[in-house]
Amino acid sequence: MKKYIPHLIAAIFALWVASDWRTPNDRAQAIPANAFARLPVLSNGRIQPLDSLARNTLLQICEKQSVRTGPGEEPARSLSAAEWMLEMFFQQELADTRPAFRILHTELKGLLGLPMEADPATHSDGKHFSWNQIRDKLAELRDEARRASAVAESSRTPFDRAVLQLWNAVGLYMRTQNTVQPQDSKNWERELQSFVDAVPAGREAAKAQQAGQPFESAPLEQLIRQLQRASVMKELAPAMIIPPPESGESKTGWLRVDEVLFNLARGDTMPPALRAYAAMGTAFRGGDPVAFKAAVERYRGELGQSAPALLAKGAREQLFNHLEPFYKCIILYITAGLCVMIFTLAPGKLGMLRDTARLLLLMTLALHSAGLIYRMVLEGRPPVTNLYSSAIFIGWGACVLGMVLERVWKNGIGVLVSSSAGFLTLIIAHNLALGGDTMEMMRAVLDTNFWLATHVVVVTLGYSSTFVAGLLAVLYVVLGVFTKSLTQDMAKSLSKMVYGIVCFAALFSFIGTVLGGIWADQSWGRFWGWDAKENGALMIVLWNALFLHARWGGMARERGLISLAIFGNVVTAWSWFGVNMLGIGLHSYGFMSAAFTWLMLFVTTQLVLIGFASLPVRFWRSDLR
Amino acid sequence: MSQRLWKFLTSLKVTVVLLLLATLLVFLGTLAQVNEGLWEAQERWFKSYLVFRREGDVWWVPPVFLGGYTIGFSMLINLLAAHINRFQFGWKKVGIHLTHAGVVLLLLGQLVTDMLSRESFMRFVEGETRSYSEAHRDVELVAIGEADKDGRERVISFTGKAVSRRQPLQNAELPFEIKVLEYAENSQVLSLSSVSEVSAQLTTALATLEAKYATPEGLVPEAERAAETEGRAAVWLEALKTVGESGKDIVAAARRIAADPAREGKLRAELKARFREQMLGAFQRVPPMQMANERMRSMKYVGGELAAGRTVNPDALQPASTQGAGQRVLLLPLAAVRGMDEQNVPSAKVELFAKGTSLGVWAVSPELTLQEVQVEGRTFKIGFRNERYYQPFSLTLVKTTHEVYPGTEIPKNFQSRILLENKEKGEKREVDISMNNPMRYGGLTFYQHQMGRTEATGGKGTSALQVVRNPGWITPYLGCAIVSLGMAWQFLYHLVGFLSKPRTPKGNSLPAKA
Repeated sequence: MKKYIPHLIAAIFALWVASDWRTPNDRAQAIPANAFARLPVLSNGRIQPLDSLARNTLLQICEKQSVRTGPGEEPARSLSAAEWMLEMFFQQELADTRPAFRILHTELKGLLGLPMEADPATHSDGKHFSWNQIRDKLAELRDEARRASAVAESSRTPFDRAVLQLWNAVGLYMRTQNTVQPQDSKNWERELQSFVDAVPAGREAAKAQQAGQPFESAPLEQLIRQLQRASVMKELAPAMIIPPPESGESKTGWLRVDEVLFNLARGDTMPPALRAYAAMGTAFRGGDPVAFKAAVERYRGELGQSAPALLAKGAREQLFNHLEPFYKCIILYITAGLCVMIFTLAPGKLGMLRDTARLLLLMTLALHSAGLIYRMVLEGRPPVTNLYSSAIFIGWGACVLGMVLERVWKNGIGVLVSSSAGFLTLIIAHNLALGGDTMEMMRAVLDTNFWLATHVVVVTLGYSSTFVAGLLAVLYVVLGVFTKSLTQDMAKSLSKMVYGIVCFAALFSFIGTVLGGIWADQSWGRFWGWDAKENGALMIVLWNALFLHARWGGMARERGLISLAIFGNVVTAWSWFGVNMLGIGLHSYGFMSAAFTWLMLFVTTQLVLIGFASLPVRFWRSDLR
Repeated sequence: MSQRLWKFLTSLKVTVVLLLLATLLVFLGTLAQVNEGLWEAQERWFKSYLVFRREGDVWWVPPVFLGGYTIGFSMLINLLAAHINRFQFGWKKVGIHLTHAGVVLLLLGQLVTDMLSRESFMRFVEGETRSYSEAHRDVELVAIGEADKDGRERVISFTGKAVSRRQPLQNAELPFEIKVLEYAENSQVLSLSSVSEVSAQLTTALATLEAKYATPEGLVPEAERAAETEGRAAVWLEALKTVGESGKDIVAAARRIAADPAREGKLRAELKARFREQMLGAFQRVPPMQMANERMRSMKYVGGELAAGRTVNPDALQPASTQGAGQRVLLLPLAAVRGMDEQNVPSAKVELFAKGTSLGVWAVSPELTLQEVQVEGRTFKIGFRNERYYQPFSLTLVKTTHEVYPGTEIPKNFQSRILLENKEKGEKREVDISMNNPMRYGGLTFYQHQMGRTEATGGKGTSALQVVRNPGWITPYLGCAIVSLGMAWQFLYHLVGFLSKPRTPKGNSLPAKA
């Protein structure tokens, strides 16, 4: 019986994952937010479900994918991104009460006159604030944002960055509120209809006015009034929600609502999509789930005829958002890591824990792979297209390598490596996702699946394996210096693992780097241009070569090599993130100051570990003499 | 002795030290790009033998460091020596040999590229034909004779380097000798009319300012006017502080001071100085986007001169030359720039001599058009222009395509449709060049570089192709293939051994050397 406990634990977790693997349904008798969120729109250059737009918008404003209801609604509950989007689209004055803006910087809170501390009476946590709370101070915020944006990126203070981030969030918020209707509209369906009704008379009046003849001013004024509102919407450039009438599966021909309004004024017919959205608005404001559902279904029915693939894409991506595979992976990696950590400290007694961890990890790897593949299918791209997906892929590669090591040595080390690498890289990915859409379009020069699939994948595997070697070396030092569990045998196998992985890393980083050079030769006409990112990759190659030659030449013994491998972590982190922070070269992603602090912290820890590795063995708790 | 040297050359220790130095060099050379720009950092750190610390360097630059060539050549020697010394055939060693042979090829290829490759650009508007490409930085001084009956012109050119050396320039086909009087690596050209116009305006504005505060009576009305605009009011407040007024009401303060002979003089002087400084500051602050505008550049120049305490007298401006287009412009030397996106505008003043007699002084710069020179009844056009490389074939830009993702500014595709015509070979065909799809022809490679649309040409598309001649272009491909093969061999060879060994090692022996 006892030997099935690991299987049982793994099965429970598998059930937890599987239970979410279905299209999210809506509660009966409620506004069907999920059905609404499946509708496709075009934003950020790609077709995506409203669900993704909602989540990414909220992530940028709030750093979460949900919002708490503010004071006034008892009991306080959590709104999903889709539910929040509904309010943002159709009932702006309600959305304005939701504490959606995450503001932490105390000086910024001071500028905006916000409460510093949490206050249970108003459900305020002291971190999240509503539009209504900041609206009176927008002029002050704008002035600060202007000043801060003139400051060079690398010399901005934390306050400057907080101001700019909030200012960006404010823009995003206003853009979202003006996606379907002008934000001040109280009954868009009726206003829209009367606008359409006024068009013929208004056009007549406009013609008469131009010809200098008498004209009726009322319809013309109404037309002008609506078009002025449309101009405001145009300034904000919200998402395109109106699909092209014919072959709606193409990416060209999508329109924003303001563009449709101008077309209507020219005498075009009303697109069914706008009519449907307006009807949804009326139903939403009236709290009428039946009418809302009918409007969504009618629109879906029309789309199903002209562009069935769009509906399917929307549903697929929504399922992926809902499943949150990488978030679940984080939890699974932690669980597996904890199990195997306990096992490593007392290997004799708790073999069961290693089995549990191994099974959990196999499952996690399966989920991680599934998530990766799902993303690739959604994007129609190889796995790595930006910094976010590189983090996901490095974690995946490290996890696979760890499992291979575990298969060979069966001592828990591989599981420990897999779970910690998986956990760390997914946390990094999670933070990178706060920047917005992670499936953004590729610039022309990067738009080649061949090189993305070869150079980028191979070089990322190079990063991955160098990190694994470094992680093994870190384990060697930590277990040896701080615990008694590093036996002579274990030390030997760890250093063998490090060697094997470094060979692998040298191979991949070299091939990846040279492939990158060939890509550069193909697109820019030079094989090597000493660009910052190229140099970063070259440093990894050189460092791995140095490790191998130092070993072959007998210049460094076990602990020396371990130190070299730990320093490999520093080199790789520099290449992965550091060079991007210099703000130079072709791969620059701007100065990421928050990440800079973390990078420095990471480098420091690695140097400290190297320091420990060079302590004479008599100071080590494990007996290596 | 020689044995010890040989041992040193072939030593693995040297290899490791070189790898360490290389890693450091790459790191430092990357950091240096932040301050020095890509191009300069490349020349200084990677394409050099030694790097010396120099004035104005950031704190981390070491007094002296080995440059890329030194490390690269040392690696090459070390590698070759080690192989000659230890070469032995065996399946186990094949991987190592291949890997190192590939690395040698890569190093040599990079050397060849450094020495022989040449980058230039071909820019055209839709419908235009080009049979030459232009250098990005290098300039040439040309003298172009009259066209013959086939419409072909003789072009005599001198490289920018030769001009910068300020030696007399001669050519058997030219009936004159060129003497370089002045040369500037970077400079700006401003038309005299623009500078005098701007300086007249500024002088008037400053005189008005002077008049406003010429008498104490002017203070109160000026304060009332200033109170209406935030910026002026701020200047007033600052000035008032210097005479001991700290209240917010500037009009009331102005009244008090106007009635106080002890303070009013100082206040007027303060206000004049502050508004003058503000005005000159506004003249000099030209956003980089506006630097193409000549008026803006003139404002910057005039403002800067006055701020530095010099004067600009519209009637006494010194034209750049006595002949040609230079008579109507000022030629101002600037500090040379090194940044990635910055470009120097070299210029020179040259005096022409025919049979020892001076014909006058001409100013030449890529910013000035070619200028006519009459010598012995023949007409030449002289000028500075980006160095041109002529080809025996021509390209015509048929059409440009520039797509972005809908609703964004993210470029999706740049593509130029080119008509390639080689009369000698009877070739005439159309080719598409786009990002990641270059055209290789005639020993050159043409890459899509930039794309735009000009108002000047009636909204026609423009395209810039990067033209690269690199005889060593194939080496990285071969090198990469050989190293990959070698490493894969070595890796698989070891993996097989590794997997078939016992899993928990016994005994104390270190793992065998590979």
